[in-house]
Amino acid sequence: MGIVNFLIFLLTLFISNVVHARPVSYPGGHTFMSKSNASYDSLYYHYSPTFKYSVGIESVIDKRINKKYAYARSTRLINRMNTKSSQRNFYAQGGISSNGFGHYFYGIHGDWETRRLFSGFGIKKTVVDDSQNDFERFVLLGIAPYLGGYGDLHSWLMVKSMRNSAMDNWKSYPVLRFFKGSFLVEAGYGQNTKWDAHLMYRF
Amino acid sequence: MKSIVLILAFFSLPAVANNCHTEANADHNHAHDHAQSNGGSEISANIEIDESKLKKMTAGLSNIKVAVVGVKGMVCDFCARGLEKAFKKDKLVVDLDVDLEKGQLMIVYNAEKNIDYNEISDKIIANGQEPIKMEVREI
Repeated sequence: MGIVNFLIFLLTLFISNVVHARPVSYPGGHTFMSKSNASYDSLYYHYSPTFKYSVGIESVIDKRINKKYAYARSTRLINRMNTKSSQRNFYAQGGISSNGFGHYFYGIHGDWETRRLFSGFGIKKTVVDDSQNDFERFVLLGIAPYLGGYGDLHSWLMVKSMRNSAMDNWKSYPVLRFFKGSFLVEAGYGQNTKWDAHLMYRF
Repeated sequence: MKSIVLILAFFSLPAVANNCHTEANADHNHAHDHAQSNGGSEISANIEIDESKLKKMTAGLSNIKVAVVGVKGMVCDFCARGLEKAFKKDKLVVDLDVDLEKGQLMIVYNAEKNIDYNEISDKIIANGQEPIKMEVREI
C-alpha cells in the first residue's frame, strides 16, 4: 500500500465529524443491501449509530478476479445541506478486505435531491495488493414522474453513466428505482454493462 | 480534474435549487430566540397549517395537543422514516403525520405532554434534518 494511498484511505475512514452531517441511515438504523452487476455480487449490512456515519460488513463475490472476500467498511457523511425543498449529501467511504491490508477501497459519493429531481455521483478506488487497481466512477440522474406522499410507492426514472478500469469509455443505461416504506428496489440494464440491480431494506 | 469540477458543481446545487436556506435559518434562529424567551417551552411562528388534515387527524380525539413543525431537508420518504421512529418512542405521542409536500410534521400528543420546542428540535437535528418553526394547538 503506497503511503499516499494509505493516507487517503485513513483520511476517508476516519475523516472528522467536525464538518457537517447526515444519516447514512437514521440514528440506530440497520440496513441490508444487496447489489449485483457485471463486476460483483454483494450483500452488505450496516448500522448507523448516528446519522453521521455507518459501519458494516460486506460480503463480495468479485467476478473480475473470481474471488470471494468480505469488507469491513464505513461510510461517513462529511457534508449535508438541507433546504426547504432539497437535500444535498456528500460522503466518504472506505473498507478493508478480509484478504488483508493490501486489499482495500476508498471513495466519495454524493447526492442532491428534491421531491422531483435526483442527481448523484460516486468515485471509488479499489486497490488489490497495489497491482489490480480499479477506478470506478458513476453519475446518476433521475426524475420522479409523480410526487408520492409519505408511505406511498415512489418511482424514479433514471439514467446512470459509469466507467471503471475495465471499460474503454463511459457507458450509460436506464435505471428504474422504486421504494415504499423501508424497501428500495433499483434495476438498470445496458448492453455493455448488463444488469445492475440493487435492493435495500432499512429498519 | 473532471472529478474535481464535478464535486464543486455538486456543492453549488442547493443554491441553484432555491434560496430558502438563509431564510429558513433566519426562521430557525427566530424560533429559537422565541423558545428561549418563553423558557424553552413553545414556539408560535407563521406556519401554514393544513386545517382539513388537522381536523381529519384529530377527529374523535380530545385532550390533545398538536405540534406542527416545519422541517428542512425532509424531501423523501427515507428521510422521514427516522423522524417517525424517533417521535413514536415517546409514549405521549398519539399520532404523527409526515407531509413531504409542505415539509411538515404534525405530532399529536396527549394533553399531559409539556411540548418543548428544544426537545422537538433536538430530535429533528439528531435525525439529520433542521426544524424551521413550530405552532402548537390545544384541542
